[in-house]
Amino acid sequence: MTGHTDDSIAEHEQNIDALRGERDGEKADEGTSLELPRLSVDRRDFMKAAGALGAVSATAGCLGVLDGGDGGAGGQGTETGGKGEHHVGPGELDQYYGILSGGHSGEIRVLGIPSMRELTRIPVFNEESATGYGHDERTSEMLQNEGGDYRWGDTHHPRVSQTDNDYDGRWAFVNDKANGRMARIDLQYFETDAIVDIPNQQGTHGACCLLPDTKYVFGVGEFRVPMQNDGRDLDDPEAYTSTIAAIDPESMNVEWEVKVDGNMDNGDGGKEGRWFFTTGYNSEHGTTEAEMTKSDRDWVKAFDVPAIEAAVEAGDYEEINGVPVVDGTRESPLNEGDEPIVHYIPTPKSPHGVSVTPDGNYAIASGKLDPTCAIIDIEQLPEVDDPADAIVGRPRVGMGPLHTAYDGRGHAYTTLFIDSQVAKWDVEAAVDAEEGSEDPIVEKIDVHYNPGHLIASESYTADPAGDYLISLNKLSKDRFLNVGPLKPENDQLIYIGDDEGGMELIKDKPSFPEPHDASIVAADKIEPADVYDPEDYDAEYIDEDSAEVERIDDSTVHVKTYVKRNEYAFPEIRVQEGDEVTITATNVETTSDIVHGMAIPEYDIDLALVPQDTREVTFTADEPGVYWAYCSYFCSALHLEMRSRLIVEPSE
Amino acid sequence: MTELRRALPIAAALLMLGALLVPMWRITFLAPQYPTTELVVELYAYPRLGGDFAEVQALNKYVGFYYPDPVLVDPNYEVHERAIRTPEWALGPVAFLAMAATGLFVALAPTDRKVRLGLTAQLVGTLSVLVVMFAVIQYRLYQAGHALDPDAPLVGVEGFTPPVLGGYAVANISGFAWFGPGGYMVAVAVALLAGAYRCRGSRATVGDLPRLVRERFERGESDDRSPAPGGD
Repeated sequence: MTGHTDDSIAEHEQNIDALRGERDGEKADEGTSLELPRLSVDRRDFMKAAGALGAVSATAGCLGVLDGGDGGAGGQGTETGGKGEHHVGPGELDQYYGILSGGHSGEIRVLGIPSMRELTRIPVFNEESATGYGHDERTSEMLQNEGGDYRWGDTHHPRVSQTDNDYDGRWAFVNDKANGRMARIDLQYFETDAIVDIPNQQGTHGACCLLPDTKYVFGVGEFRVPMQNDGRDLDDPEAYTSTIAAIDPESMNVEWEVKVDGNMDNGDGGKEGRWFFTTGYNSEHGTTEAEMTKSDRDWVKAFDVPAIEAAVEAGDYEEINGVPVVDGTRESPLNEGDEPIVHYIPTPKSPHGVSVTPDGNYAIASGKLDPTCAIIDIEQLPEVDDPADAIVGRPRVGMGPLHTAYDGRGHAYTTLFIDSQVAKWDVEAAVDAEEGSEDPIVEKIDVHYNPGHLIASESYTADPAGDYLISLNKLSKDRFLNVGPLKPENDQLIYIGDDEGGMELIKDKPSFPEPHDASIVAADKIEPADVYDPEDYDAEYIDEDSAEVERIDDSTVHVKTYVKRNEYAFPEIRVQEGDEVTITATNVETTSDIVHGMAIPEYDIDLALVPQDTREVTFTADEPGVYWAYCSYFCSALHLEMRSRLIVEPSE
Repeated sequence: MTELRRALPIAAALLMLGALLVPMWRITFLAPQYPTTELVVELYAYPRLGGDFAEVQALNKYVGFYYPDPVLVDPNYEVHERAIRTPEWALGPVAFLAMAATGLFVALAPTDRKVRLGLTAQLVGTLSVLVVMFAVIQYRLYQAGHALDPDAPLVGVEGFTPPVLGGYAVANISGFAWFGPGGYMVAVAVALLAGAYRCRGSRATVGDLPRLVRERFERGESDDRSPAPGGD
């Protein structure tokens, strides 16, 4: 063996060792690793180095050696990376998944946190051409059949499934406020896999799981409409009603609904499987803004889930559109006596957000039109004669309090829409303080501008991480380059991990309209797949052996093709004008990130195929001519040559 | 049969047979577009590939490098019409079976002289077979690396010679060829045969082995050049 070969062996072994180290999540051995181009430096070491560099350049700056020497340049954040220790450099991975709704874009966005880089977008209620969502049979049938055949949706509240009050990485759920639906996103594939069109509900607003183990996903109906909404009671708003729907997360069936008084808004579940809370407005049952805001109290509703299940079990319901609807209005016989199924807790004023503290002790409703938050003691709920007595604290947090999140250290963080601030306050101090006291406020930070929701890392679990918080601001005004009249939203990252140093604004992130709410999940709690498992879908897997062009009858052709670098099974597909053509295509690649498409010009065909996925589409070949099916993903060096000629022969 | 000079060839024969069941040889590839992962192609003693051979074949296609055509049998991969022809690959198992059979034959040799002769012949024979095999494979690798398809889509890759053992680079891919489990088993088998050859005049049994090793160790401390256990 020559010396040259020895060198290459040694070098290669180093490479392989380093790779193995990386793959096992270990640091590569220091002796060999320094020579490697792909080595990622330990973050702490990086910070030390950056700090040292910063100090040097600071000195240099003072001495005028470096032009424009910005003292912190070495260690401080850049426009892309966030500040200091929150910097996520090129090639580094984030600590958290941020799962944000996309509002009336109908989609979900996934961010890395703390970098705030947008990692992907998941189409949910919208057709989407890059992913082919709504362009193939499987997804378009879901949108049309289970989804009710709407062209858009309005996602607000993405909530991730939990087991034992912690994220389990199975699913995210999100509501459609526009058309009263709930969707489920599979977090193995990061794609929407089920939609339910909720009967008897208009404006499904809140969405939240019943904890600790995600027994139900609740869709919280906002708009009051006649029950049923089939033309009856049009001019009798008193007869209108709204419902919450309990959805089985596995089957996505609506198991039961409860109709209530007043509009409902947001919701959150208690930690022990009994309570579900919703805020609400319009206890007045008005139909105009003036009527809806008259009272200085509206209701937080506390649903006693086991009591409702018992009522359903006992047959105390009316079946409407196939769903058992339990009467939870104030006049309902089920709400008489000491154990009502729905507790109506009068809360100031048009309360908007409600969220349960990580310890499960309190549900905190944010007053919206009242500058206080109402702290409801969950344990006292079944004990008190007057539900109002369960409110054990009402700190004055500021103007327009909308939503509250938690850090797991006893602090609550509430967005102040009107003040354009986030208030940090101490929950137990607020319980002890006088009503309306500002003493429990620890600190406030300006945000830009008009925050709606906010979310802290893992805030909905029993054990929030307490380091990062995103304020989802409705307006950005002057924060970004002007892109015309439709400005981006501004999602701001705030570091909340240092109680002594205070909250620190880390980063602005412009967003397309319009994220409402989010969940932040530790990266290691989600385990996404790299390739599809064909067992997970029904379609026929087409490989080299099963590829064929099958003429079913005089006017029907079934094209079964595999797809791989850089070819479809057939360089040429010949059909007759008027044929109904079904294409079933399987990406037979097994390598991560080798994605192919199958697009056919002028026939509006757009399939996107991740490795091992199979998709199907049917169209009528009604225009004779030559059409080049091509790969729409830049898959490889011969991407442009990856084509197949669809020849539609004219009929006689 | 418990004599070392008879037991070792049998053990070597079993290793040779076992080596047929696992990959003899493996080539590990690193490429920038496969970060945090390595591609591995495993080769058996007969025309069969394991590991990521399909993925590597998809990459080889661009430069017109093809897996060899074993001619005599259908392998478990697609054969390109321009692939080099290596009919001898199908005979790999024959060579290993023959080497194993020789071991059995030698172990059962009736006389002391025949055992000694047999062990000598076997060691020489086995080494010769392996050296020839090595040379043939290296030649085939040279052939394959210099038979790049001129009609391949990607131009700019020169002919190359992958070593049987060692590293090399083609375009943006670096490869490293080394023993697979089967290769290690064969190496151990050869070592056992060498051991048997050294014990060829000894009637020491497997049970004597701990004592022999101990003595060897002690003598080794005083005189490293001491004769092998049992002596020649």
